[in-house]
Amino acid sequence: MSGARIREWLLRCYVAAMAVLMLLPIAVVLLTSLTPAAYISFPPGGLSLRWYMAVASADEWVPSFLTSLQVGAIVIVCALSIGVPAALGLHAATGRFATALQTFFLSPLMIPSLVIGLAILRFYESLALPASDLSVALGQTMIATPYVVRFVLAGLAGVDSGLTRAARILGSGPIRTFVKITLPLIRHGLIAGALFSFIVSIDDVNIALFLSDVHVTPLSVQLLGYLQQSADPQGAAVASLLVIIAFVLIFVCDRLAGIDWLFGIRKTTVS
Amino acid sequence: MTSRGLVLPALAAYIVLLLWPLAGVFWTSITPDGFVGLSAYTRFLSDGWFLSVLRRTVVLSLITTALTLVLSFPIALYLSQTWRRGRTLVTFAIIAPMLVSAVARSYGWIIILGPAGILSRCLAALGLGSGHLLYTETGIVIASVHLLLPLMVLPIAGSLQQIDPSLIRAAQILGAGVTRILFRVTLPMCIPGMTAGAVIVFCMCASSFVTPALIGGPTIPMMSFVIYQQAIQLIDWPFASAAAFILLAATASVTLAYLFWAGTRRAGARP
Amino acid sequence: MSGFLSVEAVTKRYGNHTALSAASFSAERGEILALLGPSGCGKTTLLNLIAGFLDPNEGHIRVADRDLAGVPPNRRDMGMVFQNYALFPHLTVEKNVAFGLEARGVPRAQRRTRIAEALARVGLAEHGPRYPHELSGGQQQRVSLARALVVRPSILLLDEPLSNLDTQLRRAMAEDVREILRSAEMTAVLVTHDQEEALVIADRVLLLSGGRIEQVGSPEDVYERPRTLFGARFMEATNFIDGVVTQRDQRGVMVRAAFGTIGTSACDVSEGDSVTVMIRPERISIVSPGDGGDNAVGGTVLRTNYHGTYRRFHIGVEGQELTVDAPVSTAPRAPGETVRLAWSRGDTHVLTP
Repeated sequence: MSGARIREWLLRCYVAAMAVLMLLPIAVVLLTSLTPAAYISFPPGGLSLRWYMAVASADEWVPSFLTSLQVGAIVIVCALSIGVPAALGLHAATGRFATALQTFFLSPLMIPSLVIGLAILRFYESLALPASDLSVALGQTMIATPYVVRFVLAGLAGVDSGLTRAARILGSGPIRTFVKITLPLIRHGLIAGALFSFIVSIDDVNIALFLSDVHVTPLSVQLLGYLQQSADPQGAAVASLLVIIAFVLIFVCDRLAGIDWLFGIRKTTVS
Repeated sequence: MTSRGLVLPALAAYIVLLLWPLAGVFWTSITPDGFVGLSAYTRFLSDGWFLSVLRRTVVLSLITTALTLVLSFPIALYLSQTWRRGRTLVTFAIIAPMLVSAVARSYGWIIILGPAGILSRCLAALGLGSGHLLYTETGIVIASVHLLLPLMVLPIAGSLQQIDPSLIRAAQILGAGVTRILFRVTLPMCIPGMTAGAVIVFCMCASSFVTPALIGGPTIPMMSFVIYQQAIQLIDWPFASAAAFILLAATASVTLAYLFWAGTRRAGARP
Repeated sequence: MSGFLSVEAVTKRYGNHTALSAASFSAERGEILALLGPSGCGKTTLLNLIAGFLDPNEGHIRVADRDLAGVPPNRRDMGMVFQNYALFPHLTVEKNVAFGLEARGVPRAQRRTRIAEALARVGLAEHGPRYPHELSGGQQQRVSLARALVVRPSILLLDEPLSNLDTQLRRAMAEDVREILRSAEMTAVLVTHDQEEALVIADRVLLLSGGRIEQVGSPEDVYERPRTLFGARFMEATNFIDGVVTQRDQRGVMVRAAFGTIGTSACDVSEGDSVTVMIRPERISIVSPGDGGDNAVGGTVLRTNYHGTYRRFHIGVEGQELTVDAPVSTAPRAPGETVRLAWSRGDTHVLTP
């Protein structure tokens, strides 16, 4: 084989191996959750849904799951409500102040989310604000909004400014132009922003860790606590739920807006 | 202009939920006994144990960043070659894990790296003894690389895709073989993407909580764990705040150095 | 087919679409060829085949009798100048020009002299330490030329080298490019859609359309005496007259058109054939009523337009519009005026459809 062919095969094998390695922990979690045994066994001896049933009937998981869903929904609403207008305003503005403002809106991505969680907890304590779905959601909004701003800005950048100008000259007012011309064109950015906000919320631990309490504990925080004490297939089942949620959302986003949206602009907070 | 006023809700939210709380944490860190003083910081910086935690955080983050950089490049190269048929599948495999909760991913690594895990059983089968990587720094690095690889692949792939294909053709017809083109044309033109990725990965790694907590455990604490422990378990707010700001200073200095470097590059120096 | 560069019956297909169909031509050492045609005619495909970026489905490409099949682009000893210059943005001008020499292992001392010589040849001797983005488009193109020439390739390929430049810069650069190529005695193949570029730079022009070579000839041949309707239109000829061949004589044929009989130059048609006859607008003159020429006809002025270097008259003749380009010293005529037009038989060409 010539040098070029060898190089080509090496590259392909390497990439394939890395792809497998990237999916390995996720596959392991999924398979472990299906084990019929009472302890972690990989590979599982058979396939059983007993641990999912255990999760459904246990006291701690269902309320956490519901909390996560509620908090996530609130985060979507909040992040879109402030992020979309911010992106529109940034898009219209030019100059050094605008770029500084844009960096500012994207800055939470550059600050350790743990520090943000700590800071907001202190802030809530100073106001004697008890933990609630809303209080957790507001904290997570700060790390979700940068994504909404990025996605919508990218969507707006793709809109030819000539289109809105043409509409205005033809007599369409600013609101009508926005609704009929701009909004449909940034639809994909909105969908990606909404889905990303939800994923960020569900996956977040660093902020929820500080802001949650006994009554308001999102799923990932609950799972973290559980895993620090015991390692059994029940934990794997809950973890698998988080995996399945992520994949379902990727699928939905792909259907609605195309998968490039999610992957063209990446998630840069990690728990 | 009213459209610039659209940024106001976001601006208000950021001030109330980000700037003010961060300022509050800073204030807490410099008023440890009710008076302004740096004793919280000096306590941290003069204690060998805490310094070792800081050192560990920085060193492991640097190692993770370096490893991620080397491992990502061939993948990014592969993904930027748009004619490849398996590209969507590989993109999914590499990038989708980014959207899965860090708790779930880390749990997968616990199962793989743990004492009864896949790795140790493979090693035993090969007669290499019963080593396992749970509660080791190596384990943390492996899980962190897995966590952050997508964040490095994306900017590098972006840089690669921006390379004008006629440059590669020009290099070819001038007589350059594959190796020369890779090192003299492709790699230098990827420096923006690689630096951006490195900065992101370093900051994310230094601030991550879940992965080191689960894989490393309480015996190998990182800065994130110290912050959490001091705030929630030991309720020493000033000290926790000081530790948080020291971490923030470490990541912010890297980020600002990068932004400054990227800014000077754009301002008329070499592209 | 022999010659320094020899393209033999080369065909290139993309799925169902044939980009190039059995193209054959050759170039002598030191000759400058232009491949001229509209977009999609296959000229860029042909260039990329010669360079080795594409492989032909059929046919052979030879340089100095060596078949290039299977030889990768970096081993063909060719140079290429790209439409967008393709200068390495992260390297200085000097390092850009050095790139090919480094790839070929030329020792450092030699490199320095050759680079200096190449830059001087294109008029950029002091620009070595600058970066591409600091140079104008014309300067970047010249660096691109220097970079390709410094390795002394056996053949230089130019892919629409002047298309990205402003129009007036293009004209000046075209003459410079020809001079540089001639003084380097370079065998060159130039691809362009701009007929003026081809006429100025090339020794021979190949006219391409729809993947086929329509006509080969000197710039004058192709411009003054296009053989097909496509060629004439591409060269911006404007007067096309349909008619039937009535008789032959030693100078050509007589064609009966709507407004009368016109004599043509030598051609290959028989009596009774339906033909289209072409006369270039600058070959028709407005004459005084008594004057004649080989061919003469009267008409009415429709409109006059000023074009800077010439004045264009649109004349209606028996329901057909003829275009006449005259020197600007010719006085403009008002619409409705009657004029008399005359032109010679040597300038009247019969076109093959």
